[in-house]
Amino acid sequence: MNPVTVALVEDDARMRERLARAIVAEPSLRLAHAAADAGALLAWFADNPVDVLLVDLGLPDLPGTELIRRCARMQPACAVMVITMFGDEATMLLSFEAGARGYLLKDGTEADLATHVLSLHAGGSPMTPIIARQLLARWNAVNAAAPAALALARAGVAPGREAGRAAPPPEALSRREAQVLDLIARGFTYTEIAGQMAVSVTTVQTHVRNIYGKLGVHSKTEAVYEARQAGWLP
Amino acid sequence: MTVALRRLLPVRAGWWRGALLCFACVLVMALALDAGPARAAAEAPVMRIDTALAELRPEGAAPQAGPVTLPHRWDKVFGGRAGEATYTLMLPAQADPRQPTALLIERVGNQARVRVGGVTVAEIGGPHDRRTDAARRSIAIALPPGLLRADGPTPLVIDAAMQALRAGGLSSVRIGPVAEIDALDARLALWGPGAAAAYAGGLLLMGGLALGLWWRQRDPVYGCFGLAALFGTLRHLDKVLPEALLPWPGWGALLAIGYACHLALIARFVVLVLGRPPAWLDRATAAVLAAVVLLPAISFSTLQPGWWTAALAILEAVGLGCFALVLRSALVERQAIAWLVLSAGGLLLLAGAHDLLLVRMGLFGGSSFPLTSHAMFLLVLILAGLVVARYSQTVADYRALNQRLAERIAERERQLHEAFAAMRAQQHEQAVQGERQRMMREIHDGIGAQLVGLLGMVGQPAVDRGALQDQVKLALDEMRMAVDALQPVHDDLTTVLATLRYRLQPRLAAAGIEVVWDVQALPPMPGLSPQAILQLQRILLEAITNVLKHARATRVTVAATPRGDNAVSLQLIDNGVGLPAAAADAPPNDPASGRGIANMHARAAAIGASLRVAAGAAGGTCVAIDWQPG
Repeated sequence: MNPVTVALVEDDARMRERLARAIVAEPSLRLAHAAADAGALLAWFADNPVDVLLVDLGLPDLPGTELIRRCARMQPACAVMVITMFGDEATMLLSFEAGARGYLLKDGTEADLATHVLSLHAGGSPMTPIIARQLLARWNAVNAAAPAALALARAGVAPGREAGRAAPPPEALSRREAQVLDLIARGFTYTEIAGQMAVSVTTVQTHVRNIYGKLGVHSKTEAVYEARQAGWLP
Repeated sequence: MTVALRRLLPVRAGWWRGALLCFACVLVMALALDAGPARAAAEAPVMRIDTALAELRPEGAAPQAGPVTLPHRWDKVFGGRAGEATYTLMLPAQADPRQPTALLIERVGNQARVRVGGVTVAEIGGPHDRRTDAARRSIAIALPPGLLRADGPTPLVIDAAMQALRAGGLSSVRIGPVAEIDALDARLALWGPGAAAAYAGGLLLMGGLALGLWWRQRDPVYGCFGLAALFGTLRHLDKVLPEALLPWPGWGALLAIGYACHLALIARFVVLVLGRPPAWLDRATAAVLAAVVLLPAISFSTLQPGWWTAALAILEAVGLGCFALVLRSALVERQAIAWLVLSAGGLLLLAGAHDLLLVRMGLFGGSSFPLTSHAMFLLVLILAGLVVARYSQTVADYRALNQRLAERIAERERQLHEAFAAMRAQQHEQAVQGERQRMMREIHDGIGAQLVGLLGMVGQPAVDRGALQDQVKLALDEMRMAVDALQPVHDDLTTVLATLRYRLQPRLAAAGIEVVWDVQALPPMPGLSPQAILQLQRILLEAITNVLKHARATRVTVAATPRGDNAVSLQLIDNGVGLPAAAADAPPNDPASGRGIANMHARAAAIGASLRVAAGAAGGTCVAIDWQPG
């Protein structure tokens, strides 16, 4: 089996070296590129497909979420992971909306790091209870507030910008997905959730990935909408 | 006073130019009126007869007979007496009998029957009709052809009944062609009843408007003017009405009192307009008002004309006083409007003097054309202009005041906004400051303490790597918990517990400890502060760390059950070796309970939770927390 190719962008040299060391130490991973800023990464990324991209959010030349958005567009098949110190809700939600599929905590051990990369590549996106709770609340708010907005969206009418950032309605959650989110928010592990729902762990992971995908769709809809507003698209 | 007058005169006072023009027109017309009868008299075909044979029969006095000069004034001879008179005039012979001829009697009072050559040609008022006054207007009588003799004079006999103080008597009589006489009569009617009707209408209108203003604003200036105008109408109405509303002399008293009040109120108005009058002037005007009501009443009830004349003289004096006031204002102020009022007032005084001396007293040859009413109306017009100016000034003042108030309110609002913004900024600053203090304390108590412990361990000669690693992990746990505690959890304790598990699950799994997660969906708990969350997390972390370090357990059960009234019961039960006997039920502060458990008790106390550490029902240890946040 081919090793998983990994690229990373991190402006802190020590952290970059540490990450590189952890990747190199794991035989099933191959470090394809380690960039110090967004410009360098984007230049390289355009011509070199990789399986996993690790992105530090605090880059000097481009906001991390913007970099993630561009990379996700350039290589949709690439799984983007955010490197973060805390994994706090606000940062993570923005990253997931931009197209990230996982995250690495900077204070994890090097062994943890390799495990997480492999797990992500295998389709296992992590989700903290706080984020699950937040996503549930957001979807509930949209469902409660806007059957009308949904109807409009189905009729092909672009909602007004005044309606706020949440204007382009996210694709609705399925009942199973909402159930998964609820159980995560209550502290159950994927394995326990699989047991409670009588499905396999892989299915739970698929639900989580789909939920992230809908977040991404949400942000894509928004991007298309904004592009239309700006006159870039018909 | 000067300020008051200036305030009355708007800078944009185009109106007084108009008033000046009006004034000039009326002046010219008045002159034309005076010249009118003279010119008519000069025309050849109209003859004026101003002598008569009179037979006078006053009540309560000896009758007289003899030639009189016309106009003949009954009151001048028999002041205060009623009576009857027969005037006999000789009409000249008519050269051409086909010529239509007419008579014009300017004034005959108070009831009269006119006969020419023994034929009655006109009769105005019956013998005892006290309501009709033939003197109200001039009388033109077209003579039937053949009534006048061609060969000699024809007698004209006028039988008149006079009431006391009613200005009875006979004016000169004119005879001439019908066309000429009619034209003359029309001109007299125009300046008599015609003008009176116009004046009455104008005064009613002005008075009504001014009283309306007074009703709304209670400004005595408006009230005074309105009353003055309404009193003024009475005298003009008398000329327009077909007959008096009351019998004589009651009607006469009413007219006289109305007229006197009219004049007195006009004077008071001028005084008011000039400014807030001093108290003595107020008292003086009140006294004048009382006098001019009283004097004519006495005069007409006692039928002695002197009282009424005295009242008029007082009014003339008051008028002179006002005139002086306005003159002073005009001289000091040099205001065009003051001069305008002065001119009209002067004209009024002249007219008043003319009427008093010539018409009423018959001095200086006498006159039968009272001028006061015309001059008065002119003055009233100008004064109405003052009322309008005052009103518009008031409105302008109110607008300006409104504007100023609006500006002040806006300014005050702006200040309030600024103050509010400043206060909010201050509050925000305080909140941020408080939060910083709190975070500093957390860093100090939490990760700071861990790092100090780490430093102490590193400094020891024989460093246990495992212990060092544990200490570092503790520090990292502490930091993550601090971060988690800062995340918005929206009063959701379930998520707090879930997050703690999420953080610790890998380590428990690595240690081979199975987690039984028995956390029910807890209701929202208002008052779940970051501090409280952090303390609860620390208690649970301590308990789990104890399980990891000392319990040698294979399973840990975490249970959370909602208790009524916003409370929750938490339990952490392991299946390990249990506590050392001494630690289990020792009091919290007993050193035997171990430092970790003491810390847990302290933290539980800090958030108002009750904590029990006891042996589990099936061995191991049970940590139970009952907590009601907020």
